[in-house]
Amino acid sequence: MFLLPYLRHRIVSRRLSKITSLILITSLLLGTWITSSAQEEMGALVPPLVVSQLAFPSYEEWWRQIQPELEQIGITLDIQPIEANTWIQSCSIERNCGTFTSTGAGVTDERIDPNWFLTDVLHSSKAGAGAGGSNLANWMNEEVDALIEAQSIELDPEVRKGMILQIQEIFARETPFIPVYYINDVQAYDKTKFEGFLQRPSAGISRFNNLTSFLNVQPLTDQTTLRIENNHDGNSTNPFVATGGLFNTATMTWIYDTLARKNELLETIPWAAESWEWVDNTTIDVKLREGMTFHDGEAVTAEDLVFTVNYAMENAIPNWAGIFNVVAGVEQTGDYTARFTLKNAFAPFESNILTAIYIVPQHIWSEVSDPQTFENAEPIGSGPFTFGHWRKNESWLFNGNPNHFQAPAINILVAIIPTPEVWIGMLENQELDANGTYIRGDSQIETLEAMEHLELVITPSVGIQSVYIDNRVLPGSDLAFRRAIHHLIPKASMLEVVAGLGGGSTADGNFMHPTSAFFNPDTMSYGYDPEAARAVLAEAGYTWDAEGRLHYPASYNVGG
Amino acid sequence: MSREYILRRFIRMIFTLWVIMTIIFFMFRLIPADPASLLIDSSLTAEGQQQLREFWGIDKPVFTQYLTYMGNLLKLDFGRSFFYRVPVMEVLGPFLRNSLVLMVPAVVLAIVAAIGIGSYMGWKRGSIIERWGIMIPLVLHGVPLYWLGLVALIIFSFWLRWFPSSGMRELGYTAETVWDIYFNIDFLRHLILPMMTAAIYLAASPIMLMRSSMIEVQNEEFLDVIRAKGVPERVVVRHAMRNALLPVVTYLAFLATIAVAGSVLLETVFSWPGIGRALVEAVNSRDYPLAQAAFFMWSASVVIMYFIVDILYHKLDPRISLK
Repeated sequence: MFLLPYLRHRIVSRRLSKITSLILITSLLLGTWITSSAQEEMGALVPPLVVSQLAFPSYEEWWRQIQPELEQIGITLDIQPIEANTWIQSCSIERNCGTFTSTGAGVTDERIDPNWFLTDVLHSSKAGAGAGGSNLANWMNEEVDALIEAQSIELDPEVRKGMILQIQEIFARETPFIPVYYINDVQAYDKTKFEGFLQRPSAGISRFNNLTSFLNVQPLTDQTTLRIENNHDGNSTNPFVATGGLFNTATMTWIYDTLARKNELLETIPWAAESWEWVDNTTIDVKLREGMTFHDGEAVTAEDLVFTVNYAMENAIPNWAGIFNVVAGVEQTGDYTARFTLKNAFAPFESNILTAIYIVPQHIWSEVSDPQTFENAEPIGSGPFTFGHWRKNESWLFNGNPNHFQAPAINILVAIIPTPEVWIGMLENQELDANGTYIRGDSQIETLEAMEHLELVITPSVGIQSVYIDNRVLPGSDLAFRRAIHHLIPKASMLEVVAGLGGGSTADGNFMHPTSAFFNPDTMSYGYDPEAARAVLAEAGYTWDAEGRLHYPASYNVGG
Repeated sequence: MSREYILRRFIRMIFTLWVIMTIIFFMFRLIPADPASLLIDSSLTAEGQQQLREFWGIDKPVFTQYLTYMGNLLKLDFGRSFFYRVPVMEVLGPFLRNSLVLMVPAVVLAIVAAIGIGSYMGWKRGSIIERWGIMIPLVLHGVPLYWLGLVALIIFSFWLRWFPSSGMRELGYTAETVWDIYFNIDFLRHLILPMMTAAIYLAASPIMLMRSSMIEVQNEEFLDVIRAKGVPERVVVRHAMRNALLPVVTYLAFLATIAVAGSVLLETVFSWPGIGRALVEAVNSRDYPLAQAAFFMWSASVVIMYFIVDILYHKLDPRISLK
C-alpha cells in the first residue's frame, strides 16, 4: 500500500535523473571542448614553481622580495625553507631543488683562479644528480664545455683570457642562473694595540687565509699576542686531515709552509719555493728556498718535499685529490730542487697546485703508518708560526717563528666564541683585538663604529651570491623564461636589506667580479625591468589568462 | 626497601637506556643526509668517497652498523669521532668534566636555595616579601635561558666588568694537569657568572613548588601537636619543611633533565667548552659517534638521577613502600 507511490516516484525520478545526467554530460563535453580549444591557443598554465630555500635569514629575505615580483607577472612560487644539511643532500647532491634555489660561492684560495668556478659550477660534467660539484643550474652547453676544457690547459695567459671572456659572453646571453650581488665583509680591530693589517678581497683584514696581513701586523704596546675570534673550532692539528673549515685549513699553512701562496692582491707569490720554471707543458722544476728549518731545527730539503707528495699519494689523502688530478709524480733533482710531472697541462697550476702543496718533515712522518688516524698533537712544520696549543672549543695559540724567512712580529691566539653578541662585546671591552669572521647587522656595526679604540674595515668580496634555475626542465629550460626572471630580480633592494650598512655591489649578467683580471665588461646586461620581462615572455608566445596567470606558449609540449 | 626492588629498578634503568640508544641510532640515520657528503669534499672522486665510507664503516647495511654499535656500547667504546678523527672518549672526557664542574654546583645551589627561599615564602605567606618576592621566580620561570645568559653577560661582564665574558680560563692560559685547570682563582672567576645564571634559572620552579607545598603543610594538624608540646617555632618549621620536601624531591630528577638540556644554551652563550656545545656541533657536522656518545651520557645521567630519586623518596617518607 505504502510501497506503490514510492515505486512510482522512483521510476519518475530515475527518468528525470537520466535526462539531467544526459544534459550534464553533454554540457561537460561541450565545456571541455570549448576550454580545450581555448587552451590550444593559450598553452598550459605555468604551475606553482618550487623554491628550495636554504633556511638562512638572508635567503628568506631574498624570496620574500622576489615572490611579489614574480606574482605580478603571473607566476606563483611554492617556497620551501630547508635546513642546511638537508639542502646539501637534496639540492646540492641529488639536485632536487625544484625550479629555483639560491646560494653563494665562498672564496677560498683555490677558487681565486676562474678555473674552479668554470669547471665546478658551469661545466656540464657537474650537472645532474650525483655529479658532484656545484652546477646547481644543471646547465649543459657544449660550446662552453669545450672552452672550459681548453682554457684549463692553455698556458698562454692572453689566449686563455680570451677564452674566459668568451665564456662570460655566452653565460650572460644564456643566463643559466642569475648572479645577484657581492656582499662586503665588515671587520674590526683594536687600533690602539695593533697596526699594519692589509686588506684582501674576500678575506678582509683578518680572515685566516689572509696570511700576508698577519705577517705585516705590528704591536703598538707590549701586548704582542693578537687575540682574535673565530666562531667554530677546527678538527685536527694533522694537516692531512684538517678540514674543520677555512680556519683550520688556513692556519695549517701557518705551521706548514706551502710552495707558493696568495698575497693580499690575490697574486701567487713564491714562498717555500724560491722559484719555478716550466720545462715543457707538463714538466716544471721547483727550487726550494735554502736555509729553511723545521721548528725542531732540522733543515728543510727537497727530500722532505718529495717525501710529502709521495706520502700523500700512497696514503690516498682525500684533501690531496685535487692535486693528484693534475700531478702525476715528483722526483728529487738536487738538495733543493725537484721536478714535477703533470698528467696534463694545467693553466692554474701555480695558482692552485703550488699554493696547496705543503711540506711535512720526513724525519717525523716516515714513522707514521696511518696519517688518517695520527693525532699529530705537536705539529712541527717550517712555517712562520709555531704551534702553541689547541684546547678544544676554547682556543688555539700560534707563536711567531723568529727563524722564519719572513718572521711575524706577533703571536696569534684564536678564541672560539660561538655567539656573535659575545665576541662583539669582547671587542668593545678589549678582551679581543680583532675578529676572524664577519660582523653582520646594522646595530652591531653602529655599536662598533662608535668605539674609539676600534677601526672598522669594509672589504669587498668576490664571492657571488646567485639565484639558480634548473635548466633541465621547463620552465627553466626556456631561455625567454630565464631572461624574464632575470629582469624581475630586484637585486639592489635585496642587497640593501641584507647587507645594510656593510654594503656591497650588485652583479649584472656576468658571474665574474669586476675587479678580476679576467672580467669581461661587454656582456649582455639585465636591469630590473618588469616591463621588459613581460615583453620577453610575450614575444616568446607566453600568454596570460583572465586572472593574470602565466601560460606557456601553445607550441610547448609541457610534460606529456 | 628490598634489595630485589633496587635490582629490578636497575634492570629497568638499563632497559630504558637501551631503548633510548636504539632510538638515537635510528634517528641519526633517518636524517636525509649522507654523512659522507659532510665528511668528504664533494670534489672527491666516486672511488675516493667510497674509500672514506669504508674507512668509517658507513658502507655496511644499517642493521650491521646497529649490532656493531650496540656491541661497542656494552664496552663503552663509542668509536672514533668523524670530525676530530680521534677516539670519542678522548674528546668527550674533558668536555664532560667541564660540564660537570659547571652544572653540578649549579644544581646543588639551585636546590639549596629553592628549599630555603621556597619554605620561607610559604611560611610567611601574605607578607610583603612574599608578595613581591614571588614575582622573581615567576618571571625567571618564563624567560629563556639563552636570554638570561646574555643579559647576565651584558650587565656583569660588559657594563660592570666584574666577570670575564667567555671561556673557562683566561685566554691562552697555561695548564698541564687537571689540578692546574680547575683549582685556581682565575677558573673561579670564570665559573661564577655561568654557574649563578644556571642556578638562578634552575631554582625558579622548585622555589614555587616548595612554597606551595609549604603552604599546604602549614595547616596540617601534626604541626599543632608539635606546637602544643611547646617547642620553639624554628623546630616547627623544620618539621614542616621535611614534610613539604617530598614533591621537591620528585622534581629533582626533572631538574636534572632541565639542567642537561640547558647546558647546551648556557655553554654556547658563555663559550664554555662542555658537552652540550660539543653535542650541538656534533649534530651539525653529522659526527654520529660523538653525538651518540654525548646523547648517551646525557640520557644516562638523567636516568640515573631518576633511579636515585626513587630510592631517596623512600628514605624521606617511609610510608611509601617500594615494590
